[in-house]
Amino acid sequence: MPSLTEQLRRYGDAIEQLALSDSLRDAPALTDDQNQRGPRRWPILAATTAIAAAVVVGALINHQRPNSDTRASTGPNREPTPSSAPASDPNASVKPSGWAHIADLPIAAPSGNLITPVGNAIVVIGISATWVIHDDGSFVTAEAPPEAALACCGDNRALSAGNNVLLVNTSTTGTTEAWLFDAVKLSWRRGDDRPTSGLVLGSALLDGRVVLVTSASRAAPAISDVAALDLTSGSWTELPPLPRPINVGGVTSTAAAVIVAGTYQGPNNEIIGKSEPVVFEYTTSGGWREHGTIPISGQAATITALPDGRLLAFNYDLQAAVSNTDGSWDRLDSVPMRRGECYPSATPVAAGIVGLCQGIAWFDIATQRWQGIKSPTGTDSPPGTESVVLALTHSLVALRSDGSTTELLRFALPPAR
Amino acid sequence: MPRSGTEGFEQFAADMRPRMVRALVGSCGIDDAPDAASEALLYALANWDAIRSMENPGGYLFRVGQSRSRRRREPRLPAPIDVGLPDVEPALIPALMALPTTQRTAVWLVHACDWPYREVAEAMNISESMVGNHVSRGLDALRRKLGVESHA
Repeated sequence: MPSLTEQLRRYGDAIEQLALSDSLRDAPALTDDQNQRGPRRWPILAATTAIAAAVVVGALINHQRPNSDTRASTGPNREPTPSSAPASDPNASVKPSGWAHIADLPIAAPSGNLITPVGNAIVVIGISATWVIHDDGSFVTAEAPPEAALACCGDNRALSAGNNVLLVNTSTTGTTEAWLFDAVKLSWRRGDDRPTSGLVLGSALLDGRVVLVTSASRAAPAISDVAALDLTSGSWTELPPLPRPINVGGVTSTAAAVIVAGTYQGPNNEIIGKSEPVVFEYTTSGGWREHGTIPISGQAATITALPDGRLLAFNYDLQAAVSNTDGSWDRLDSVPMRRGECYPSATPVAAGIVGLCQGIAWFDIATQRWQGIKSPTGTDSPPGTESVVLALTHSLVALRSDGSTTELLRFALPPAR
Repeated sequence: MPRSGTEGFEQFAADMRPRMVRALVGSCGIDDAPDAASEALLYALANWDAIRSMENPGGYLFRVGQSRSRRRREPRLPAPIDVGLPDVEPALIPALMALPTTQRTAVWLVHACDWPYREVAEAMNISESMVGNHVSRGLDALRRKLGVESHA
């Protein structure tokens, strides 16, 4: 057993690592009268992460940058079109060594910024500027957020919304302000204030509106409130609430509907209701309808719509399932990545789905098979903070920083068929 | 287009936030430390000219974070095993949390955060010798409670 002071130092180190990955509040906590392990907590929706639709993987300790072709980034060198043409790679294959250095970028500390994918670009929101970075390494420096605090100090959440980023605050002391960054026009504008100030489960785009699934307040983890922001007018419309509250889960949309899947936990993290995620579907004409459950048992399920309209879900326990056209579900092989507390995300990219949690996995839609992908550091993705992996429309990319410079890497995925 | 007057803040915030959260966890717990750190960094942003010239901005911002923290419950910390530390005594954290606030804060900043006495003194707004007293008494109490004989 290490000395008392050494134990304290190690414990402090562990706390800082949790803080770096924005997962501190998800750690199982003791009360001061407990002297043994407390009840296991699943990752509740703390919603404080500064990184949307991304996962932080791979520490840079002792990292050596690979020797590879380096193209200088001198952007802007083309129109910032987030939905640009696929960056296909004729030699693409899913392999552990498939990360390639693309460019060095003038962003000192990506871990301190808000980073979100928008189409096939990455939007990095910093205090001094906003950057739109394409997967070929070109980038545009745009105006800073109108208020520096929007990009500062945690508790803001950046959500992808068409060609826009919707920026909202989720802290206990936060505002209900809603800001939009247009990644094509490279401009910021303020929308009307949000109807609620609570946690944000997620969002999806439907008919030119961002549908935001949220709770009434940060102190009320039960999420059932739904509001839609019109991207043209910047005004909010309150939609009918979810039929039942959830507090872990995901949000996606098909061409005609918003789909929400999730479960609800009580104050001691006991699952209330069914352990399998419930599926709700919202259409403009029909409101909310419940569509049974997904046959994956556990928490923190994510859900995403495949290009053919089917749905794919996986959860914290790495169980996965895909829906059929008749609404039934088939279990898939487990997602091949290390299990750990995280918020899973699944994003259509090229010919498949990129799953992100404590690791990276690729789901080939044609074969319905998962394959694991090594992190940019070539490891099985130990938690870290210096490398952010993002699933864009056509590319899987990573931003990796050594504290002073940031490099863009791209993984060679099979091109869209 | 880029905002002026905040040069260097992004890097400062990226470096300072995890350090500040770590420091504040000892007094605020894991539920409130992230918000307290955010409040401290927002203050730093609003007063960047003054903060950037400070010799020890961490200690100052620790006080800002503590004063602005809106504590909603008793501070809570995770069990060592739940943060991947099976070789840390499970009873250490409950014993730490049972210490008087000043002792706990001093022990936490000195030994869990590895802050020098000078910075801890500034963070707690007391003298370095008082920091030493609180640390000594706090460690003694921990050792008694955990049945540890020797001083490590």
